[in-house]
Amino acid sequence: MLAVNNVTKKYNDFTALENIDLEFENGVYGLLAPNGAGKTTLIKMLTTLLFPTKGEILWEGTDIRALDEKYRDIIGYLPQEFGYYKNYSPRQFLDYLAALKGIDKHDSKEKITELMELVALEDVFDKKMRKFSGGMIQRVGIAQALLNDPKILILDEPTAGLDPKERVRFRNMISGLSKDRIVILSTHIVSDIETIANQVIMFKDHKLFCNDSPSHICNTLEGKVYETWDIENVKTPHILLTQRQEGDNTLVKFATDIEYNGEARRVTPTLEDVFLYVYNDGV
Amino acid sequence: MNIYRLELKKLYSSVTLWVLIILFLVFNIFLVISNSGDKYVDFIGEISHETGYVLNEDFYNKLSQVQANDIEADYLEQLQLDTYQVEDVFDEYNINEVGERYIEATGAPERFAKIMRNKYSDLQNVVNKKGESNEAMTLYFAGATYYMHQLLFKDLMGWLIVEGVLISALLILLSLGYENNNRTEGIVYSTKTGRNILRSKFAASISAALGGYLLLFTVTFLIYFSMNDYSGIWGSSVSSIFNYRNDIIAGVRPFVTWHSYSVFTYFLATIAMSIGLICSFILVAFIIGTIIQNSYISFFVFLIINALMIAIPLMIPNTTLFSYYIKYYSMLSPVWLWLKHSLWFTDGDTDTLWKYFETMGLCVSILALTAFSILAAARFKRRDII
Repeated sequence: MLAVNNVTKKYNDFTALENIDLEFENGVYGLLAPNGAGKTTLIKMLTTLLFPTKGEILWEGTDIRALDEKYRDIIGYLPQEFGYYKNYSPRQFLDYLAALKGIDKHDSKEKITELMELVALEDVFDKKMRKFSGGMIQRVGIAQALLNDPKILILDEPTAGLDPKERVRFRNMISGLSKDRIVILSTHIVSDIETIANQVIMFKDHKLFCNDSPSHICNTLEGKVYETWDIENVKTPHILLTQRQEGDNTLVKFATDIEYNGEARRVTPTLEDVFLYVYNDGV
Repeated sequence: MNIYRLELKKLYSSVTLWVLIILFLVFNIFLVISNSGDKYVDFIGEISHETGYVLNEDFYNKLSQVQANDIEADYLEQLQLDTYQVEDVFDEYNINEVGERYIEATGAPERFAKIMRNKYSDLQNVVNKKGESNEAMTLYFAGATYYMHQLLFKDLMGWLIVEGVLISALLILLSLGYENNNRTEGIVYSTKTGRNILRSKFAASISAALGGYLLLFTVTFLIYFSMNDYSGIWGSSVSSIFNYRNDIIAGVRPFVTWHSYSVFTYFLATIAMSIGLICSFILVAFIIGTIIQNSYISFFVFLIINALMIAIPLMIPNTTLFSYYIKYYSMLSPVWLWLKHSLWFTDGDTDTLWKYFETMGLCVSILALTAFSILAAARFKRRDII
């Protein structure tokens, strides 16, 4: 089990995260928050790139700093901005990272071929990465994160740069991978985690806002979300969520804390509704 | 080992490295070619095989029997003139006077003047021994000795050190900044090896730097020694009667080394010292590179720091005891050791207080810089990678 105990991270006077308590077991955890909420800070602390100002992060009861390379040996990480060596081919780059991950040269060869097939890059295995599209680079990033068959897979905005087809493919891949490992996936795109996350973690004002299953989180808005074709006549205080154009009319979804009896249909809240409701000051 | 090899590959794949090596080689070859080809030097190189290099009776007998053709006659005559009735410069030579002139010229406070006097007192004993053993009575390059000594040990060695230092600094800063430049810090430092990659990067940079220096050195000297025949005079003493040094305070004076060096052993000692000095510059660059992750900014800072190390002792007026401390201790810094490379293994000059200043400076620099490097590496391991 990976445990984050009362962790605070400060950069000089700025507090990025405050008193965070989390526990991770096998499964997919979606870190869902707008940009700047502290997702990357938490992820960087989980990957030992940043160190908590206060608190501790434990793996199986031992501080990850003390575990040092034993801990890093079990993590796979895809950063938000995945950097790579432009003059290397995926084979050369993954070879290098396999060496850094302490994987035996013979084993790594097999593993790299397997991963290249998984991310559908086997045709460009020996092509220099400088010519790759954003999506192809991101797939190399996903492959490198899986090189050491990590027990903890940490993905920061992994679907950035992927086209819709690749996103679906990626989600399916993550679902398949999450059975015997912890997958922590940070995103501000709700659809990335809506269907695959066992738990959704949200931050607000640099503190933990919720850590629950998507259905429980959606339930927090139960009875508060409505749809109407006539938003002009909704006089009750409300928060606009989404709009959908149908012909000349606009179907507007809104949330209100007061029971609404006007011309509107009560609907089942989605994770996106909760996201927009919670972070409404930012939308 | 695999990581070391892969880090080395990154460095050898750098276009900048090879462009620099080619530029430096072109410059060195130009320097060698434009300063070689002196017929008198060639003649001495050739004749020394017959006469030997020790200026004794045997030498003069053999020299008198040399049959020169028309072209060589002038050079033979020149050599006979150069070596005619020469006397050992170390007989009755008082080097303590040099020390007194330096003390007077710099106005050294008593505590430093005392160290300086002790140094020259010790050197006087060395001079006396050199006189007794007739160490100076060797040929070297006779009348062309000063020019040839300066060409090899001042110009060529000096430039090779600069080139070695620039290549070393560039390589280590390139290696340390590689992940920052490619935005791969996150994935590299979160692997099992993590920030311990610093060890492999350091080892790979040192190997590549010394490899680069060796390449420059080998090509340069292969050309130099193919154009200048040292084979007959390698055994000559660098403190030969024909060798001298000149400064504005002490004037022209013999080239006195603390130990007895032949041209060959002095050459080897200078190479060893050069490699040590390059290593100390590597440590300077390593410290900067672990603190500043951007290679280009780090290289700029490296140049600025060395420029400041040169400027500070020159700019501080000798008005307080503290300013003398700064001046004398600065001479032990790598950049000042480089500036004084043509005086290595000698008494040095006005600013060099201690005997064996180059060895002492190198040891102090390596020790201090190693300690700082360890601290910088420890800080790097604790640092946030933002």
